[in-house]
Amino acid sequence: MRLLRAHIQNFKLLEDVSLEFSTERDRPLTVIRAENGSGKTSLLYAFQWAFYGMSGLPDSAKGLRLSSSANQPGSSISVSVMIEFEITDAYGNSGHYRLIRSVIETPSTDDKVERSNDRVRLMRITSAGEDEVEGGDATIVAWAPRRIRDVFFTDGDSVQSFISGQVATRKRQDRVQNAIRDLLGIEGLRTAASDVSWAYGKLRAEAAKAGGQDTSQLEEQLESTDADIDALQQKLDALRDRHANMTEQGTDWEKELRSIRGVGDLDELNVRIERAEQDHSRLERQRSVALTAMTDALKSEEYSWRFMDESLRAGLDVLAELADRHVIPGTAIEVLADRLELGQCICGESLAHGSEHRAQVLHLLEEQKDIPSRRQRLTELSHIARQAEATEQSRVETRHGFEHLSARLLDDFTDASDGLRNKAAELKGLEASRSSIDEERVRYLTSHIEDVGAKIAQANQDIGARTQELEQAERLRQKINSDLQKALNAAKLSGDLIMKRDVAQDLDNLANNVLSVLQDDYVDRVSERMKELFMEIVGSPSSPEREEFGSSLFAGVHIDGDFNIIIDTHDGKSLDPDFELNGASKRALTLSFIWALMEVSGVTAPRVIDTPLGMVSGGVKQRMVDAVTKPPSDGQPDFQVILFLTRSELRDVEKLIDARAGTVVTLSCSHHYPADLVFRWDSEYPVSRLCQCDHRHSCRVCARRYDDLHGVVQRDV
Amino acid sequence: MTTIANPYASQDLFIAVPHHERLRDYVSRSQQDHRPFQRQIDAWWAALAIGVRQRRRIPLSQEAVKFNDGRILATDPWRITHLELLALGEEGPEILDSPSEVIRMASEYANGGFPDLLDQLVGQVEPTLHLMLRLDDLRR
Amino acid sequence: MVMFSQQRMTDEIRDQVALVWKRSPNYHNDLAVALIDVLRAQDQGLSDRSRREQVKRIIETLGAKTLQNREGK
Repeated sequence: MRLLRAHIQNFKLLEDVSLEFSTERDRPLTVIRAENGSGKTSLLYAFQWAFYGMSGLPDSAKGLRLSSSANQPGSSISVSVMIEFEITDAYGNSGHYRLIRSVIETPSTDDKVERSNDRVRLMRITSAGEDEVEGGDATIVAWAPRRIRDVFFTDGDSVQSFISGQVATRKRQDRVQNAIRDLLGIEGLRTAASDVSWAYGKLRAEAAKAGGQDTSQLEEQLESTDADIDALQQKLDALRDRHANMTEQGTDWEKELRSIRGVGDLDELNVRIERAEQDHSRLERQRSVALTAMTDALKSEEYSWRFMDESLRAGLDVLAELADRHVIPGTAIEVLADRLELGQCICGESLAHGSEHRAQVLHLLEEQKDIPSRRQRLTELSHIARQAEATEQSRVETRHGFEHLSARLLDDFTDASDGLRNKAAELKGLEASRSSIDEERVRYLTSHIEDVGAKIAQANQDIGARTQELEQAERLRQKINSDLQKALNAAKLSGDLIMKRDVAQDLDNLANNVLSVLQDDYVDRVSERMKELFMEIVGSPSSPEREEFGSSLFAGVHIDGDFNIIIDTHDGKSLDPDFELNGASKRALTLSFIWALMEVSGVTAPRVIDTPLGMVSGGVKQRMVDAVTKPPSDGQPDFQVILFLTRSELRDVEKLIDARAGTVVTLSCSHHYPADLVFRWDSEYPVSRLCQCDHRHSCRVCARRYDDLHGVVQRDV
Repeated sequence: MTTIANPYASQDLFIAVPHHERLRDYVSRSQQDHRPFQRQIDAWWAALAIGVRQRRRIPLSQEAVKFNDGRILATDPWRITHLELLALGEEGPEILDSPSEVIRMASEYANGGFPDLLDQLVGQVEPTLHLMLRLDDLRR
Repeated sequence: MVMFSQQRMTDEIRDQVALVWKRSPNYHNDLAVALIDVLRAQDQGLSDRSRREQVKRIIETLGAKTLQNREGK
């Protein structure tokens, strides 16, 4: 299908817009230059609505009215979109058609709108005039199936729906698979193969019936075996499907479990718990040290003084009294001996050898030796007790007496105990949060992984058993078939019957062979071509723009057996397109896929893409535009690409546009005056208009402020 | 330099049986034990100090356990000094001629101090701590 | 059978038909045309049942033609 021209009336702000599309083989590109808010999206929706009606619009747009909100309540307005196109139909005939979809909308006062049923007319245009095609709506849907709308009409943001997005893996696989099936005609061929198989069965049965009772019976057996085989095959498919789903789920759970157990919060938590445990044991030691110090204090001299202070002093008083009464000498033998050794008296006099003082002390010492033993003992005691008293005195004065000692020990103990209590609470909290990570989710995951593992194992067993049954049934079928052939040969059937049956078999084989080529070889070709295009856009590994794709690792890309689009890296791994590709790479990849699919299928269809170059710049942008607008080589069918581009997207690719675009037009909206538009239009309400300005020019309709920055030159019209 | 002679080395030290039995739980058996007293002598001295403080001197009855002898006093020589000062203040200088009298006096004071001391310990999770906290009360 | 290019489908069918045993002089061409006719049957808006009957008639015609060609040889 090639779009020739379109005429849009009263669709949103597109009051009356006509445009022609480029149909030149060498210049397959049509550019609609439009800034955001100029009516680009309305134009894209207008095309989609023309083909598919409301169901062709994105969900977000379905509730909206189609006509401009400037229309007065109560006044009916006709919305219509006409698209003229050429199509080479299934019969190999080229046809020229005009599609017109229209609807009457009547806005009411409460911002709602009354809408009539769509009217769809499909006209075939020939040299003789126009003929309306009956069932035009159905015909259009058959030509451009709605479910591959994404391939024909894409905007920059949903362009990635084939490779990423918030959709489940299976859904994305389905999208890729549907696009491939529809564009490669696999569905039609499947239907054909099944029709042929049905007819073959009928013809076989007719032959068998003509062969008599034996062959009839064998044929019936054959049919029932075939039914068994079909049923078994279906069961097997369902089992394999289930198996695949469970495996995917199991893998997801395992991944989550690994991430919980591995890096992240848990590690940090473990470090904190370890630290808290160390603190806790340090505090326990501190507490234990304080307790030991207490036992030491309880047996100390300080304790004894503290309790017996008065009684001990009473003893000291007795000693002092005895000294006063000279019952005991004020000096002791040891003291006198000490002083002689030191050579100085207590009073400070020298006790040097030969001195008078020394002689006196030596005399005293002699006298002491005559004192009776009790007095001597009392003298000794007095001496030691006074020392002890002095020591205790100084301890108390320096706050080292028992009173202070015990206060310190109690403080130490309290500190350690309080610290322990806090640490224990902290530890408990930490361990609770660890176990909340660990236990709840981990327990859930572990049990479910185990569960799904068991179910997968069971499914494997079932698959094995069904496969065996299937093989058995197929062997049985073979035997019955061979018996049937023998019986038929013996029955001497008419050549006509046999020939019909045989050609049916040939056609059955042929259809299935073509089908398998399409399903295998062609998917490989799409995969291969997609890789070429993608690598071409991404550039050589050494190119500086490679950085823009966020990875210089790309080694290639392919479609796997499950219809996943997989990016391969040089180190033999694959990247997750959702998380490991940036916006530019995603766009490049999706465009490569769509282009590869179109090329390989040989389908001539328009590709209408809104804002494809967002997030793309420099050399990458050039290569992307180059890749999607390259004229078809010999043997390749024509194609058509319609891009909606802003001035900034057009920047740096002007020369490519010169070469590749057969048509460039500009869409603007009046409400951009005066902020962006230079000239005021003669319009009382917002409206979008098209002018024939290309990417290098502007006029009184489309001239924008700062156009000169984009190298756009104003022309006189 | 100043060594103290130990005239009490040959004296036996006794604790009344009921106190001795109660005391058992509060004397450590190993290095890691956090019981209030490391040795029985330490408990005996602690009780003695309390008895003296409270002026409670109770003669020992027949039933008493010898837990050590006077040699143990020499491991903390200050105890001999305190013992003799105590005896001196209580009885006068003559008592020092009779070591057994000194020990008897001490044993009677310890005997008087034990009940209050043990009452502070009994039933406590952390008896050492509790005793430390209650010492001021015991001094009254 | 709408999207895939007519030319490519025809090419594929002709490639594959070469592998079939030739039952009559013009058999390969006739068989390829028959399959294309079977595919076209889907574009006529028929019910499944009628379409299958039509496919059966296409095959019967092919059988008769093949027999004739062979006998004519």
